[in-house]
Amino acid sequence: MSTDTDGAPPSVSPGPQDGPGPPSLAEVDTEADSASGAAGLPSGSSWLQEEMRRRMAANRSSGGGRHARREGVDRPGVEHYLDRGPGPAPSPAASGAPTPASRPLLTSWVPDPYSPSGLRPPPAAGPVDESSRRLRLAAPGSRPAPPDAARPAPGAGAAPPDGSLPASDGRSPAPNPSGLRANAPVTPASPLPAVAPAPTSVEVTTPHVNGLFTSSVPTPRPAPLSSGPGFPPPTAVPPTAVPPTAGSSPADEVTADPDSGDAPTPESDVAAKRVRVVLSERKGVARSVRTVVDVQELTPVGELRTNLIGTQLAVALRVAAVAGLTLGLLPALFALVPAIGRIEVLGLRLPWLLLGVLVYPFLLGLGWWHTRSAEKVEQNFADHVQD
Amino acid sequence: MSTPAVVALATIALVGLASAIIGSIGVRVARTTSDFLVASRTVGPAANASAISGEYLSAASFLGIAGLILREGLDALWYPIAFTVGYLALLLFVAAPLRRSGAYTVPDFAEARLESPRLRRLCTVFVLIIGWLYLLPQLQGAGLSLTTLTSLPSWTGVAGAGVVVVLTVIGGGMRSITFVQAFQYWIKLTALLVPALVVGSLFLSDSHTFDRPASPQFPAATTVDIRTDVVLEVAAPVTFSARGEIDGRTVDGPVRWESGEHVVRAGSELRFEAGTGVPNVAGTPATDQDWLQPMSGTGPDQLLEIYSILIAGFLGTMGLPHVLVRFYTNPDGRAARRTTVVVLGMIGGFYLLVTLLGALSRLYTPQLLVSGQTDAAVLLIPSGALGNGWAGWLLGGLVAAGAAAAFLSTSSGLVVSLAGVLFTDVLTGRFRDFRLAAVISSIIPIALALAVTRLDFALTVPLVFAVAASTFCPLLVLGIWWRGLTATGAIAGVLVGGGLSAIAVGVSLFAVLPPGLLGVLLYRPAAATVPAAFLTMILVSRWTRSQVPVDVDRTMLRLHAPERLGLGTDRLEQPRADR
Repeated sequence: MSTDTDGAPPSVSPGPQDGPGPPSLAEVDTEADSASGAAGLPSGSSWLQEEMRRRMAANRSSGGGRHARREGVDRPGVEHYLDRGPGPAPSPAASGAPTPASRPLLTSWVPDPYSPSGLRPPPAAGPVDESSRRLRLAAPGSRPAPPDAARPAPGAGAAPPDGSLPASDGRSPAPNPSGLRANAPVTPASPLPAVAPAPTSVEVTTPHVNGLFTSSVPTPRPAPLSSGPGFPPPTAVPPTAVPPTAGSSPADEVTADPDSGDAPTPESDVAAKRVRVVLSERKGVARSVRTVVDVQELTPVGELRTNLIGTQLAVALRVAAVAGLTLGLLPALFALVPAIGRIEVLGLRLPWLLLGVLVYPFLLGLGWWHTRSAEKVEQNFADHVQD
Repeated sequence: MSTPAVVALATIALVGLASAIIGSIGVRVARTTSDFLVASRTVGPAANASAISGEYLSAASFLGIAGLILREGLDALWYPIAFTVGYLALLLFVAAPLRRSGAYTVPDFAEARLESPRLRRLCTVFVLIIGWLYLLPQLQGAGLSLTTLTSLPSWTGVAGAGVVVVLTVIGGGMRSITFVQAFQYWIKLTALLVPALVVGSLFLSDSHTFDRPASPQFPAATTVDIRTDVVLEVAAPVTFSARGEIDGRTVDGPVRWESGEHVVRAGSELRFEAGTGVPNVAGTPATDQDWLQPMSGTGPDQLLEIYSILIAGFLGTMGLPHVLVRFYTNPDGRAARRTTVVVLGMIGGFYLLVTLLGALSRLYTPQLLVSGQTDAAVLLIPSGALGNGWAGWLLGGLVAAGAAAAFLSTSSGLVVSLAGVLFTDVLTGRFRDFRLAAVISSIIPIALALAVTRLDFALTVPLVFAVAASTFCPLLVLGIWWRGLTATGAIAGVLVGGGLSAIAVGVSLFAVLPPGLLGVLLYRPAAATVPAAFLTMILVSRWTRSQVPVDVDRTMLRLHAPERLGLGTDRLEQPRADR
């Protein structure tokens, strides 16, 4: 993915690794969703929200198996975000973000199934179908339908989105919380708020299509770079990069195209992002768009990740401190106060009772305590991410 | 061959046979590489905890700790504590993230985290060193048991154990070993529980007490064969008859020793009447009262030694390849954590019994204090307490079965993990090679065990822990919790920690140790080498900050995020090309 930064995506993207199939599809899917969400916001936010709710429900319901995969896909995206973690944390709401970020990850991960089953049929065919199907679902549902209003905006090209954005703004704040998916629709809104603070990087002049994203983008550059390298170069890259310019080469793109039809709409957004990757000439704008999305999406999760590891470490150190202090002080105590060795408790010398008997239940208790605490932390983390 | 020897041999054979049968059941389900290496990651917490405990409680734990307690008293209790607390550290810092890494050996984890093939190779080397070093006392323990119980030459025990181990491992790899080891844990527990109950109730019905200002007494007339040169110490004057070379003079007849130290040459035979005070090896508590007290040695030196043992145990357990590899067989990180908690309970219960038997052996097998063969305490306590009769023989047979289970399970666990590393990192190819790897990884330590003279478990095992704590512990802990770790830093830290501890091992095994703190540090190096390894790793990583892997955050998240988020991968199922 480093290619992104280079601005020479196409070469990277490719060829050999058709593998990305499934993941890429997924990405596309998510992107489409988010895009549609953005578009839709202005006009029929309620519709969008409904759709979102439906999906979330579906997600949850699908514990494992096939559907699980989809979740997995999204997650990877999440992971990706993590990289940026520390980055600017504008509006966490950024929903659209997940998609871009996720994509690279997805590809890389593909080989290893997210799902326990692990045996995902590698390549293109299967996944493609799915993705296309999904896209359609998303597209028709979200885009077209609600959408007329929304659509227009996208249709306008870059500009339109902006219009839509403002509208969304009002809403966006609310959704921010943390759930990626839920947020996704919301995202569009969030960007705007972010814009206001506008630590925006570089010269990002909120241009056309990208407008939404760009505005929000805070010092995007570094972010993209970091994200790029992070991904394993081979897998993920291609699909995303390619599409932007030509708009159609790999299967992924194809699927996207049909859906988008109008090009400018959400799809167009996606394309725009990609474009930026491809053409260095576009300068900051394109890049900024992507960055923004990434950052927004990533930030909340990144924070979560930092929190997760930090909290787990604190939990572990707490238990270790109890064990270390107790066991560590005993030898010194025995050495300094030999009289302890002559105290009898329950017919046993106190040191024998402590070191020969009581230590073991003590250690077992510590272990149990830690396991409970650690599982609680994980539970909270997972709930946050899945919201 | 005497009756007790036949009984003991029969029970040992039974254990071997049962292990082979259980192992062969596993063979039928072992088909894929994943079966062989990580049992397809399907082992639940209870079964895996039994297997881990079965594998971890080696001959050193089964035999060695009781012997240490017999000799050193309260201060020896720090050994089992250190061995147990290691699982707490494993639980706190390593278990779940290690499983979530999707790796299948330690070197694989190193590469997954830091993306450095060089580091991977270095880890491979240290896995082999640690594994072989640890196999050595296990196999020699088999020899000791056989010699003690049946007076067969010790090479038969070494060779016999080696053959059984190779056969079980070749048969079904990790899949079948899991069942075998779980079975062997329960054998070991039974083999301690029954004698502990019997001898313990005997002790309670007697009026014995440990609180005496004198040395232990021989419960019956006893003849002690001295097999290695030894310096003995007596607290009060003793009279006995002897044949051999004592204090530089050849004697054959009654001898009277005043308080103090006396040198006895190998090949001497000492005969004590019942009720005589027992001389003890110099440097260990002479009277029962001293033995009961903490800190029976010389102040600061002993304190440092205790802390060093604790550090080695606390941090060394997580570096033992055969323990780590078992965590890869759990289905997920949560199961890995729960497994560890169960292990804490199982091992704690086991050591409780060992402690009890070790203390009781002071009453019933004091002659071992003279010969210095205290590692045989558990084996001899049934006959020592119950006398010569079928009850004692059968109980002895049960203990022998436990001892056999101890060295078989640890050895086969080590061989599996070593073979896994050899198979994936040194050899290439598939199925057949795993068996070849198993043979290679056991032949070398068997040859070593036959060639090197046996050393006390108390010496060798803590040294292995120290090496593990100085190499893999910093790598795992920093790798899991610190995103700033770089491959260069890890390599430097492993080299420093491994190098220093290897020097210490070499000096303690083959040279005379200087007195004082330096001697203690060579003998128990963890207190110095572990901080050195950590420090090196951190400093070098900071200097080479630019080498931090670009996707470190993603990797870190994968290590810590619960599986249901779908971030995990199984490196075993990735195409081999990327390795």
